[in-house]
Amino acid sequence: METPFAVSEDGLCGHVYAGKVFFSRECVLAVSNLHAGKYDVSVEPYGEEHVEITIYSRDGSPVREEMLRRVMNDLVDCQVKMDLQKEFGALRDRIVEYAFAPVRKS
Amino acid sequence: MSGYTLLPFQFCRTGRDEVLLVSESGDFIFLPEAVFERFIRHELSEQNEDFFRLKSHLFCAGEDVEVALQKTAARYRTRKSFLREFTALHMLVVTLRCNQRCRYCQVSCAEKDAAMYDMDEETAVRAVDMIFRSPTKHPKIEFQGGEPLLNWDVVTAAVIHAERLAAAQRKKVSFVLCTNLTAVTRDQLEFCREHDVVVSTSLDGDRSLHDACRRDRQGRGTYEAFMEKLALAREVLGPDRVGALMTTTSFSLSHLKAVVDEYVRQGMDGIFIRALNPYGFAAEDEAELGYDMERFVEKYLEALEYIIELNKKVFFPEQFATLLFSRMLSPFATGFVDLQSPSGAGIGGVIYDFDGSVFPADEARMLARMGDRHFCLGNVGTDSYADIFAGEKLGNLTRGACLETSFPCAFCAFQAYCGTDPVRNYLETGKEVRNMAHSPFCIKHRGIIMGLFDMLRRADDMTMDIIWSWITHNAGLVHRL
Ligand code: SF4
Ligand code: SF4
Repeated sequence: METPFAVSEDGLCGHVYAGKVFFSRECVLAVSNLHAGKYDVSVEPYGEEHVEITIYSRDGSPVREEMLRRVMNDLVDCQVKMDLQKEFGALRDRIVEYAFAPVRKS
Repeated sequence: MSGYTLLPFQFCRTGRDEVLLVSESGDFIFLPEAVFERFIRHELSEQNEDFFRLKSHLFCAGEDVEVALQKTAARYRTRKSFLREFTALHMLVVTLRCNQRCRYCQVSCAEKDAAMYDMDEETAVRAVDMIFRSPTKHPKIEFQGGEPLLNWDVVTAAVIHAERLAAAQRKKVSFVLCTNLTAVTRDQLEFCREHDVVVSTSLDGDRSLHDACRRDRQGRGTYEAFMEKLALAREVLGPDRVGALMTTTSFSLSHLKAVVDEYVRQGMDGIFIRALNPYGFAAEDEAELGYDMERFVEKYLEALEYIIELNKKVFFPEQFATLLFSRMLSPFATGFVDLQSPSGAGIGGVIYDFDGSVFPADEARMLARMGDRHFCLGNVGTDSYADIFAGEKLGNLTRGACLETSFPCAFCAFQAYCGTDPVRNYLETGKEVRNMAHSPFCIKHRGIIMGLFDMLRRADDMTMDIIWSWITHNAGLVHRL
């Protein structure tokens, strides 16, 4: 896919195409939720290898390419965060355990 | 690939080819994007200067992972030490009556003579008994209203009973009287002096800004009466025993510098620039009094720049920035019930309504006043300490009110500095837990924290001295002109 995003319906609707090899289901849903407070967002499969995130303007203001680029960046960051979370999640649990160990003893 | 271990952190991009990393204990570091990418792929050379910074700030560890985890845990424990003070702040609503009728009154105060809204002495004594069942060694009792001066006998009875219990249990109790001051008498102030009661009052700015909202029951401004009684209170108690808070409305939003000037002119020892809360009369009149949170953030940050400039001449902290800077720059514990995780509702602060009903936060009581008792934890007349404080309701509320499990807070770089507000969430969405993205709470805190980081990046030595003087409350740190 050449450009991972597009605008339609006279600018009132934006589409971001996320490759399944790069982005997990959780990541796509998390980023959709991130923008759901401001836009109407839906997620659908798009061919074998992609999912399509569709973003509708709620108040008639245009969905600009810059906004879609931001969604794409959010996907990248969110996936990095989720991967990092897997990497140091167990360490985080240990920190909390150590931190509250004196409380547990008392 | 290098052999270091990444320790837990959150990050966000600043938009300047830089990434801000914040560790589990709230320490932060800025990295160029390219360095960040190498770092998370374990490709950063351990001889690299940035690597040394990352390691010393506990973003990664070499072979000493256990030591690094224990150091982080010690800092984390300090940050969460407010949990040890279960429950420190107890607010007693001794009456809903008020001699004023402020336009934004969040408790929808009652007429001055509506005596059915008074707490009786028996209820006050039971509430104080319950306060002293809390494990905290330092209970703070705040008398609120309405106007607590209108039910003065109950205030004095509660103070005296609390002092007795404190002596018997070897606890250190402190008192705050939240009053508009306009009805205060010298005798009442003398009682406050004798019993070490601190006064917290309200000042919204100069005469025109103050009178825009803070009015008596006939709709007249209260600035003059307030100033007269402020002088009396300072004379009897001393200036350091009388503090003031302001509430920002649409009238003052574009005039925050004038508000700051008035605070300085009146010799206040700092200011807390507070946004309007959408409860009570403020909710009814939101169209006129309210504003977008984005605008509040913009004006707040402008005012903060002004206050920093001012501090080159006089020590005058902005208290919300002080709290956040303290969380960003120091390992000190900062208890602030309105901004902590788990939420301070019920475990950091609790409120006893005039009829003995117990709520986990002032806003929950305001919600009840608006007709929704969803958050009522029980009543001091009918329920035990265990029913109220160890009950399912507070347990569920606290479990759900953690940033670490909220969206998108669990992945937010500002998690270590921010907090949750389940009552506000409920008011806005009908649920205690919500998607925080684009919520006014998130817009405000994200915007302000980003603004403070920006300020830190640009800060010269003088600005850093000013910020540290606020955090340490040491005016002498700044060499003033
Ligand atoms: S003084 Fe306080 S309680 Fe009274 S009307 Fe004003 S805001 Fe409400
Ligand atoms: S409320 Fe917003 S700023 Fe605060 S932690 Fe959550 S996402 Fe971050």
